[in-house]
Amino acid sequence: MTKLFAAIFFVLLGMGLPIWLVLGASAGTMFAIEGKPLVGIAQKMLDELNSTTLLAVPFFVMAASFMQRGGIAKALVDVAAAWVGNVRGGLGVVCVMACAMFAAICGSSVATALAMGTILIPAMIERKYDRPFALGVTAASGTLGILIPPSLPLILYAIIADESVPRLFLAGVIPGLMQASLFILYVLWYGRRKNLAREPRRSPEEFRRVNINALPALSMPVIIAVGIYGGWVTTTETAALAAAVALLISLFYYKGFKPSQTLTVIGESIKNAGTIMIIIATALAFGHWITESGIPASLVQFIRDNGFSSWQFLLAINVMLIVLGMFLEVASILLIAMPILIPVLNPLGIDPVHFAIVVVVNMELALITAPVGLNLYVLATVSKTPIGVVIRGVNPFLVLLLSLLLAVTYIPDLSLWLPRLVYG
Amino acid sequence: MLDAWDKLERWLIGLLGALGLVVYLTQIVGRYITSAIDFSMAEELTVYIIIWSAFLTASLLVREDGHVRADLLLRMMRPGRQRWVEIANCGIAFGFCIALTWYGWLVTADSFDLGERSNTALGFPLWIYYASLPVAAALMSMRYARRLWQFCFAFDPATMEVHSGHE
Repeated sequence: MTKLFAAIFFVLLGMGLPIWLVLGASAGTMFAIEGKPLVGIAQKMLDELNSTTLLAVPFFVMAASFMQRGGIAKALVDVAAAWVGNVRGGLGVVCVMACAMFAAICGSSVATALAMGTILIPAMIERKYDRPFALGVTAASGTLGILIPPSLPLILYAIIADESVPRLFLAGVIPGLMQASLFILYVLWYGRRKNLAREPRRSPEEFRRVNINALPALSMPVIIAVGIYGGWVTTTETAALAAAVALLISLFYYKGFKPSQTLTVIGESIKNAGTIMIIIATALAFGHWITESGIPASLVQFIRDNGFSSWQFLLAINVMLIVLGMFLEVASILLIAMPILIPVLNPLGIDPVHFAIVVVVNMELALITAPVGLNLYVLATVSKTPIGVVIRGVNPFLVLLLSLLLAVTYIPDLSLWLPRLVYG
Repeated sequence: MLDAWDKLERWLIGLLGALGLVVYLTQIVGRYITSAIDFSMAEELTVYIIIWSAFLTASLLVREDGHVRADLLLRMMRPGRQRWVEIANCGIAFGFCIALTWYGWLVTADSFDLGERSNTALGFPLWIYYASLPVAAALMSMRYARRLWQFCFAFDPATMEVHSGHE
């Protein structure tokens, strides 16, 4: 039965059928073969979507769209340039820092890479940075969007694993800062070696102006952090507040778009969120079948029988996720693989919060590994650069990210220390 | 006619999204202002509004070929081959959406007949929420039928371009 299921699933997937249909049609076929009423799938889809936690996804996507179009990204770049631009390869460092700040407001990597790429790639090329480096550093730093909280993949993971969102968010903080530091060190080294340009030092008045101009943008991560960790509001409420504040400062302070365009921008974000939500709908019905089919249980049995230890399991999962990440995008991987893997964690003594961060770092790799790495394509498109050049530029950062993955996988405290400190 | 429908869908999705955000914010702000009104209703209402908008989007996404899919192997084929695989894809999609319309309708009609209401202070008639699924599935069936027709009878190899999905 499992073999038949796998065959249907992979054939449909390979044919390029939309993921939500692949999940729905394979679950539907299995329901039909087992003689279960198909009306169960429709009911399951509606029940699973009826969740307030899930609302955080469209609201965070809205916030990201407002920020991307509304001039918040530009303000963050300016302030980072004023503080750290005056070194060799300064714009590279600015890129990493601005991406990290943007990531503290936005839960999506593609939105982060896109927001920073449209501003920083032309600037770097004008300053005679080589094109592969300019694109590579933006694509790779953009991935911080899903590691530094808030993070859409962590919200999805929380829904599938029934974990607390704030806990997962906190777990991403230290690995996120480590990634940013690693990237900055590499950029500094590269900048010296290639003798890249420095940004001019700003006059005191200019420095003050840039900082004041960025204050509304910089207030956003504070609102989000206080909201979520202060226990004042739920994650979903924070997402809605972030969207509202981003809308207000975009419209009235930075004037990035006109009030008449608001409905269009909201429509676009619902469309982006909709691509994820429809997958969630069928994926949870699919996950339901997976659990009942006993696939996770037989996986646990297999691991026990062969005496695999947790480190071997984690290594195997990393390899599997890296391979999946080459061909699928983030939400699909999470929604397909997690219902199978999460039940295995407890018997192996792996903390689901630790595992979440291992998975998310893998998803960062997925975003920048060919042939299907969304950040690569988005940046190639906006900068009108052949995809091969972006891939070449991102390679050094892939190595850095792989070393972060190893560290995060085998030193659980990197992810677990902060949530334990705060929540006990 | 179809263009007008696309426009209407886009407008409706934006409007519902904005409405969802406003209703939800009322809930957050409202509970700090007065405890006389139970604002948890607004939260529940937001879920229904946003899910309706997300399901309507699904139809628009078929029109724009925006649904996430792993089309790497597909795009490696010659346009003539891609056409046949796409015909199969549209066929499966159409069949699934028709089934989803039917079963979604059953869920909705049952709920309506039973007078089922949500188990909250709001006591919302759930069939209104449930109806989002059959409506979206029916709209998608029509979109897929059109796509199928295009691939069968109005095929233009130049349109087989590379698409990539969303995060």
